[in-house]
Amino acid sequence: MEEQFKKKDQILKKLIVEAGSETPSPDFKSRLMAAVQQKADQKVMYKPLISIKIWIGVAAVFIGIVVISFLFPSTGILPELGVDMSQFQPGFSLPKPEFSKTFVYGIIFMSLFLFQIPFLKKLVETRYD
Amino acid sequence: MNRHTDQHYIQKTLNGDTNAFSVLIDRYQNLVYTVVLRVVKVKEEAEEVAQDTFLKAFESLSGYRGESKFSTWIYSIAYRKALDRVRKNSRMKPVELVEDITEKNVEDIDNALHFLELQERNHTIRKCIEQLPEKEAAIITFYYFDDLSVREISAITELTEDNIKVKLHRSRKKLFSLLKQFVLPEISNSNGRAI
Repeated sequence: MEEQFKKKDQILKKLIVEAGSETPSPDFKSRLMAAVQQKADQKVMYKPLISIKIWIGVAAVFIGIVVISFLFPSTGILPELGVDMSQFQPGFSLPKPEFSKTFVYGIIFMSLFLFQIPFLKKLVETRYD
Repeated sequence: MNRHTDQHYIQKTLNGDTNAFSVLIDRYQNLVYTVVLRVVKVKEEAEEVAQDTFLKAFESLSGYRGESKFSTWIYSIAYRKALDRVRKNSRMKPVELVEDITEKNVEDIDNALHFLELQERNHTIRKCIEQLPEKEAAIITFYYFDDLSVREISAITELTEDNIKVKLHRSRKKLFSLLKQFVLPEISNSNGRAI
């Protein structure tokens, strides 16, 4: 059994190697290179509208605001720096927004949904491109 | 003779030297075309698919990280593109011809093939491979012609190694049955014929 298997294997290997590879038409390469060149010319470098430096700045500002609001929850950082806040006080009281739990859950699920879109897009692109 | 590695030309292509890609085309066009032709079975379509394969490789070259051989990477593109084309055309031609081949048959086939002219022999073998189902034709080409390991074939086809082994076993059997029909028709036709 083992011997027959080996024999088949050897014969097939010999025959298939002997049969050789197929060759495309002679102008295959020139046509292909023309198409490649066309692609290369079309290739426009992707440049993000907002550069990475600006994104880092935005992130730094956002993190700073979050950190300050945690460290100085009621007064903020300005009174600590000696700025008189009384002149900035508005003459009216702002209404305090209140959100129901359902609304908060809705927002969370919506953000999760929006968050996965770029990943799904990438997955589809790599699979079907 | 060009002795630079594939990686050298890949890097040059990525740096904007489009002509460097032509070396990679020279190196792999026949192998890619062979595999594609064995899957799609039609020469004109095989050329189109082979061209799409190289264009896709060119576009995605920056995504090639060199974890596998360049040949394995480009074969996987070719294999997927060829199967997509077959699916699109729905030109599935399943071959359900699995006869038991005895040790005597194997020797008869080998001897009969030996006496055929080389050209005729090669033609016969190509015809037989052409009749295999798409995936098996590709797998048998990868394994016997390109000498790829089962693991490499598994990476290209995204099939498990066990599945590849089963498909190889089936393909061998089918190929011998087909060869038997081609080279020993008198034996095949007389067997089991009702009087």
